[in-house]
Amino acid sequence: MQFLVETVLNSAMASASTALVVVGLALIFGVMRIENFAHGELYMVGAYATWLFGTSFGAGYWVGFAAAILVTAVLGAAIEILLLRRLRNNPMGALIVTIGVLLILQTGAAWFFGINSNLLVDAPVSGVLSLGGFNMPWHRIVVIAAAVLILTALTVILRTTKFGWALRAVAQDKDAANLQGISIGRISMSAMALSAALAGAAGSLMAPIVRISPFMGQPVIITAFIVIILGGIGSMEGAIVAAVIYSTFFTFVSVYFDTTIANVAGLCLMLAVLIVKPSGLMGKAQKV
Amino acid sequence: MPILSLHEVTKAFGGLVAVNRATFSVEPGSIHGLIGPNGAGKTTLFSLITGFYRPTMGRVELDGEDITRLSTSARARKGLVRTFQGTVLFSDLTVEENIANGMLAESSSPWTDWLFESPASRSSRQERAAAIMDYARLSDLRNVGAKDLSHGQQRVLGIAIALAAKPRLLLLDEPFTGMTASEKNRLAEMLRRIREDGATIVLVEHDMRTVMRLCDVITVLNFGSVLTEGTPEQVRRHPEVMAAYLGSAA
Amino acid sequence: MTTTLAIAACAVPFVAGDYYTSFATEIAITVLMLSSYRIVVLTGEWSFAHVVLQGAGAYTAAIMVKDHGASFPISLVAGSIVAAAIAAVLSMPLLKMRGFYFLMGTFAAAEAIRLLWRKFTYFGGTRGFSGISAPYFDFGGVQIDFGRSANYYFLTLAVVAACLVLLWRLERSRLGKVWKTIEQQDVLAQSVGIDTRRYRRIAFVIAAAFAGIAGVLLAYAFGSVTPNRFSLNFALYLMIWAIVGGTRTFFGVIVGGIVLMAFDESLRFAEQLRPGVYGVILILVMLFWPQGLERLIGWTGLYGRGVSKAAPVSSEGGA
Repeated sequence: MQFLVETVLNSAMASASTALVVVGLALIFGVMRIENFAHGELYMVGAYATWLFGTSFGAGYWVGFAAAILVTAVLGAAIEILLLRRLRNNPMGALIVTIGVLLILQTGAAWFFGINSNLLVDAPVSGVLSLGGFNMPWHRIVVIAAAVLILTALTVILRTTKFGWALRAVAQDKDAANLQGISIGRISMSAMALSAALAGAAGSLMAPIVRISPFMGQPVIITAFIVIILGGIGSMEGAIVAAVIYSTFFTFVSVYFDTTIANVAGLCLMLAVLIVKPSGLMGKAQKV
Repeated sequence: MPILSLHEVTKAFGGLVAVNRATFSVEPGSIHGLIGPNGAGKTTLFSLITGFYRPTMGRVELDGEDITRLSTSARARKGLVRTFQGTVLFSDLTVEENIANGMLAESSSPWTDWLFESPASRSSRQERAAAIMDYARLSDLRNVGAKDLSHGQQRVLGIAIALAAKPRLLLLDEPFTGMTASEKNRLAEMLRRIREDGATIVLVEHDMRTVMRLCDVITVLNFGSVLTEGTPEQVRRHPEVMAAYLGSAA
Repeated sequence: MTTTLAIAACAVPFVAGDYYTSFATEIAITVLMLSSYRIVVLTGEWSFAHVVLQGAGAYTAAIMVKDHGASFPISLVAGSIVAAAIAAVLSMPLLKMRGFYFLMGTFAAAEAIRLLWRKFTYFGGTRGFSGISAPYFDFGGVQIDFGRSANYYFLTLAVVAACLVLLWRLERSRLGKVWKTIEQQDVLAQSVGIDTRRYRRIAFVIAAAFAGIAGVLLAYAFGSVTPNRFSLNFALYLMIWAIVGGTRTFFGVIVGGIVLMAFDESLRFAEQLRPGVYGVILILVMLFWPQGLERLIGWTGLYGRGVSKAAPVSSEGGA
């Protein structure tokens, strides 16, 4: 029973972090029709930035967290302005460019911080919550709370602000949005910054829990693509629901069987969805 | 027996019914026009006949055989070949190569032909390509790149590619659009010759004058349904046709 | 140009040491991988599964040699057939997808297969197989030990050259023309009766057959097979080489492959920086020469009229 509760809580934490990552990915696909392969590396940059500003400079975790968001947002905007903007009519080209960005960011991290460095980030709330026989590090609860908070804020922004309205307008019909005087370039840049910041926030939140390495983004992006396909590409609501379902599924299979089987099962699940319903489990019927 | 017949063919996109219980048939050896005001469902109907869409309901038959479930390419191999609105060509290839590509799916040759084309089948294909170029008056342009042709020539090349696929029923999507008057006359002449050589033609067209002059039978669509059908003269006199066109203009 | 290339290739073991002869063997295998990958690319799709299909050939060879003591020609044929058979099964669901979906579908299928190799001891688990003995021929007194790097290099070269001739024929055949037609004008191809999905499947399976051969060659060359040799990274590098080298012409991809492999080797002193260098090159190529380096250098002109048009990455290819 105690084990079950802990697994459920771990699933919730995995869901929270995955949801942050995939929402950004879905957002950027919705607005720009680009699959960003470097999204996992933005998560990685978030973790490193948290260590650099929070731990190494000694400014504390939350400063590191803010720095992670800022750094990834700027990075995301730069990627849009310098690269993706030039390839707006060439989706496959843009996809390949994001693979280039992935390689550069990985190499950069390995160059500056080393491959096997053992960087530790202290959790903002240390200690363990002990309640009736089960134990839970406080930071895991912080991750869940922070993710819920960020996703709620994101929903409010998208639903109520002019920026959110413009974003959704572009996602629905680029030409119509353009006719209404929305600057596609500005929206794309902001969307990319926002998307990157979400990945950075996830990386920052997970930094005290996972091993920080230049290659930590790879499993994250693979998971993210599986989730995105399950949820229906470009659908943010679908992505969040799929993140919860998939992370829970993955955590349980990993715990009760092993990680390899969980991975294979996840990949087969994605394949099955691609075959049976390419628009995703939650997605609307769209032409593929 | 009609070469093509549609029974209660319906296509809905979500809540929007683009084609509603369309029923009509095309007699072999005719030139059959499909007209209607903008948004009447002509293009959707065209895609339903060629297999780019599956109907929500209803049946499409070619020579009495139900082809509703067949793919576009399978329909083409049965002799139902289409052309495209605008210019869809192999624009980096020459006129001759474009026409040769139209013959690639030909199934009469043995399978070894796929790997090692026999000289006999190659030369027979080349002859046929030459004949088609002759037919379409493109012989002088055989080595010209498709993208260097004039708009009218490109439209004709599109039809020539379709002819290479040996159509029994040729579906033309607005073939006269963007052509000069003399190009229109020449194309009309070519279509009549295609009909004389045994193929049936269905065409969707905006240019009323050409349709009235060229077609034997005209089906008028409005709001996704068949409004009326008849000879050009009958259609011209039909009061609802006038109303439909005037209504769309207003 | 072809003869120059052939002479240069044959001269390698005489002018270079064992290390570079083995390296040249690896180049030859990679050239076969790229040339066969190009068939899939010809139909307008990018696949992540090609390297794992190579792995299928390599694992088949390893199992045939270790468990059944099979000879080189037999494992060569078996590796090719197994890879093609796996591709044939995978192609049924995968070729319903296009663009990004196809890319992700091939990744999922390939990675699942690779993880199964890691998981099951039948496939040697994470350590794979080692000690695959080199081929040894004995033609009535004339004995050739392919354990020597120069001999194995010539064997590889002969197999790869034979495959390249076949691939060259294939591209010029009616089948090759159909593939190019599909890549250029999918919808028009369908409307003249070409079953595009069927021919894309055929391309996928034929490419896999050659990838399987490349896998068998690799297994013998290294004497070992590990699941990590067929990971996503290698699939990514294959794709990068194809894009950067250019897939426009038959020879473009070969010359591009050789140049890039040599370049890759020259980066060995800066192992850590290698991925980043590729990242920069990839971005520069995509932004400035989207048809690959072959276009930049103008090889296309050297090899007659390029029948295929631009690499599909430069046109509409996304989901």
